Amino acid sequence: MTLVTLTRYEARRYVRSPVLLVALALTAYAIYDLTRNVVSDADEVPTYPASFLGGFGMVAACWLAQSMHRSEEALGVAPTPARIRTVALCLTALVPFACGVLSLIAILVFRDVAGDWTDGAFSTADRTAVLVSQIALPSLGGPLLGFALGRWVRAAWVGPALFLIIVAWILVVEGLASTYRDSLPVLLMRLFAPFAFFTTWNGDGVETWRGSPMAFAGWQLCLCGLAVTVALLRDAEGHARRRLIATLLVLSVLAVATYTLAVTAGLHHPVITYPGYPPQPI
Amino acid sequence: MGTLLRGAGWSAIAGLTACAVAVGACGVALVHYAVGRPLLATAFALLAAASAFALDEPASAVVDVTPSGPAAQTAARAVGLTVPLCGGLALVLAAAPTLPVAGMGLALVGNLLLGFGIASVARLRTGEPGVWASSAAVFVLIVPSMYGPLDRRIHMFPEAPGSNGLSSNTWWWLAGTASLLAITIAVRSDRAFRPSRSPVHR
Repeated sequence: MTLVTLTRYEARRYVRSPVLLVALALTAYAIYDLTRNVVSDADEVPTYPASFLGGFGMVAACWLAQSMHRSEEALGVAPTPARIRTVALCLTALVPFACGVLSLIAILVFRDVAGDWTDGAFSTADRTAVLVSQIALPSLGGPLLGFALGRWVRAAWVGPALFLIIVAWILVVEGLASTYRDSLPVLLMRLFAPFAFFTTWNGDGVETWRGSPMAFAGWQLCLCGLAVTVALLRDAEGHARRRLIATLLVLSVLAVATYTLAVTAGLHHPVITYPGYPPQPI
Repeated sequence: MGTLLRGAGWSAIAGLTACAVAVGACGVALVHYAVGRPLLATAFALLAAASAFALDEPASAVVDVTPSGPAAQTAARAVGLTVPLCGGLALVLAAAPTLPVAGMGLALVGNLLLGFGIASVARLRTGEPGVWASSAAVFVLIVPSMYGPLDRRIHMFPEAPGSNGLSSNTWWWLAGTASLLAITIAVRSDRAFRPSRSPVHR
């Protein structure tokens, strides 16, 4: 069976997953509901595609990959190597990614922001990077993480548990960031995640936090690459395994570099933007 | 009962309870911040997911046709709830000076009953309902809190004073009663003739 045929087959199975279908429906409804009114909190809308397509997509992907363990006896005698099957699974992540990109376009087209200040003190490029890192990249990274997890772990409960742990981690670091805005350890924690907030609405104005959205998007891409490599390592042997380990090392170095850049670049102090006023240091 | 309990999905129950305690411990540590309550609510959702695995029965095709009825099997399996219950009680006691013990206790029991209730109903169709039941429980518990407009109307964890909408206590009385009712009906139903799993029908 060729890679294209396998990918098509796995994509069909993935799209039929009730978890992913629910995620798609909830994403569509959340975008429709939250773009009906004028948006003051720019960070609220992107949370939903990230949680639903990325989070639920991760759970569905994990279970899809784990189904390969259950049919191992049958798949073991098939002429298609396990590596090709894993590549096909990873390519399936393009489905939620495409939905994430569509969500991003829908939000850009239909979102009615209260003013230029809604997105904080970021430049146009940084604003775009924030939206890409909050909507499109979690839709790709979540499912890829699910596939990597599903290839290595057999227990079905691990997927939902990891999703809730990631949600809890993001809640913790966001809560700390809104209290200790200028703290370096909190900044390190906030960006050490697959999803991060860069602005927050405090009721009067928009706070823009430290960190570089562009470098953070790079960190997310490195995490995606790491997830694919870890998934492929499961069935790799000999020369292919050595090459994958080398790739893993290179990607790890890149991830450290982009993470460092995400922490050190960008604003050096958090600022607040009130409607009609220029940004002021907090 | 010992034989019945040996087949329980202890790894899932213990693993999810451990995750819940870890997340809940962060919530207890940050209980004075706004993020403390959502973290504890997430921990309780993980405990609900753990309780949903209590009814997993890998050898269901054999167990379902043994002389012990569904009620006896469910009662034996309910012992598995002690693990998430103990984990949850530890969190309730740790957060007790700041958050209301009665409200948190009710939320804890409600969460466990909800997970177990969904699993009891799903057990009528499959011998290992844990994955789907825990997902359904997490979905019911997490989506409203993630979705702002719904979060302002329904509270699934003891809310801060001055919050509007359906209170946590009211919600958990309703959800807990409905779950108990579902468990009662499920254990009275005959699950020995599931078309998909029973070897008799193959």
